[in-house]
Amino acid sequence: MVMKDKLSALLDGGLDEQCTAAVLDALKRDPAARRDWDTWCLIGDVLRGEHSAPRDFVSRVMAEIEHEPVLFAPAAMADSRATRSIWRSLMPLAASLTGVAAVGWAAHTLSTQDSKAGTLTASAAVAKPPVVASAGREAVIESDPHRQYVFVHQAMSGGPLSGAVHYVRTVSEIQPESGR
Amino acid sequence: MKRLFVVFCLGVALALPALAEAPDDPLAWLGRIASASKQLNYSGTFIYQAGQQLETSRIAHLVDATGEYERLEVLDGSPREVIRANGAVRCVLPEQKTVIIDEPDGRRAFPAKIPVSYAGLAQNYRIRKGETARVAGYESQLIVLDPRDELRYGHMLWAERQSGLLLKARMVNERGEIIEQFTFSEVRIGHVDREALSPRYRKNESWHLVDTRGNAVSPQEAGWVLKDVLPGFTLDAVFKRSLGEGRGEVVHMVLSDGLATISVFVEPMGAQEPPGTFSPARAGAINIYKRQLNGHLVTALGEVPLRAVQRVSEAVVAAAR
Repeated sequence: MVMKDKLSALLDGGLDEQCTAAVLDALKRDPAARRDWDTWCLIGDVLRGEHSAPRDFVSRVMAEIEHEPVLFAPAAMADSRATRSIWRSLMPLAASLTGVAAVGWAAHTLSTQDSKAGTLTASAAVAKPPVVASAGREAVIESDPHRQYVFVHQAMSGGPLSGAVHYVRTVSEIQPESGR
Repeated sequence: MKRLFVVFCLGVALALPALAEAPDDPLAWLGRIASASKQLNYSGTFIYQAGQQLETSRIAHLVDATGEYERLEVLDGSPREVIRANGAVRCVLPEQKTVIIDEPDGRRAFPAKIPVSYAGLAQNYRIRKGETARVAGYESQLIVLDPRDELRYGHMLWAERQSGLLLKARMVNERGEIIEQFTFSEVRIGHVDREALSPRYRKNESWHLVDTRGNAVSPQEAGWVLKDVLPGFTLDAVFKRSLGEGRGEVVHMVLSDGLATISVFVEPMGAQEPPGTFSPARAGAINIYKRQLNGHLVTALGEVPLRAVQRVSEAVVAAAR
């Protein structure tokens, strides 16, 4: 197991006591491993909302992406409804997976410049050959297909209701009365 | 005489704030409603009604030197919350492990484009003051907006007389039936605890993030046009959002009459997508109408009667190249 894998296993709590001690010892001696560890911990904290992102966060995340293979969801998962939904494509399909998908999601979320983030992600995509994820690990969302449309519409809407009140329609469980 | 004039001026000056608090002009009331909801600190519980169904939510709104913050939590059914911090909005759906994010600030306001839209509003709605009434324990002023045609709904707005805070809003159809209603059952205007604004849920890596932010483009770049613009509505904005690698973009056109808004989404359909027919749908007060056009799916939706979204959807054609 290479050092990065060991660090990843340590983060996941997947190492026994002996291996944990060895990795911690290596962390003390290896500055590169310590930088990786700090970055991964920071990403986790930011994703959990427990830490605000520092200024160089996106660049550090993008540097991580450069060194990781890109994870593509299997083509078989793209049923006709999924291919039609724009929003599903925006969702982090592999967000439930660890590693690069979560890193990419963090970069996309935290970047204040959408187009820049998209460019960076695209450039990262050609840096390494893709790895195909197993279909069993894919994240599938079966939610109201209109919900994302309604959310975007509410953001543009100029009705009399203020700010967040407006969005109660989006999160409401009052069901659509008819559909396709 | 000079002293009398000074006293008169002073009296007028002192009276002005009171006049400003309760203007006679219904258009001025609309302005008060718009600014009150942004500038006041308040917290309370409101009931959202769509058709025969009800949901109760709690809301807290705080404005300080650092900006505007808001939290809405739905109290019935599954837990859901909306967090707004200045320009950023997050809708959190914990059971679906989904967070929807957007940055709508600067794109929406009521009435749209204050004060230019006042004239436009009056063209599409008859605006008048109604009776005063008690709502959530406060004296409120009713403002009525009656639509001048059948392409929009009517609105009844009850605003707190002193502050202008909107306490109750009702949307009605041409028969006067309630399409949708928001009513504060209790509200405190003034102090709000910061704790009331703290998010209850924290996302982690397994949650899904839906980022709805798009890029504004000119109407000429949309690739689609409306062959007939709905009377009283204007095309306010066009956005494009990527569908992902090799799958094109969705075009989002936003139309407004100053009060009601209609969104039109045009997205390419997959090659394996079977041709189908679509029935009109409704989500609360929002009517949704879909149709296929040249291998694309056109979805029009808005807080307007079905006939309006249908007309808009059917007016979409590919732009001449």
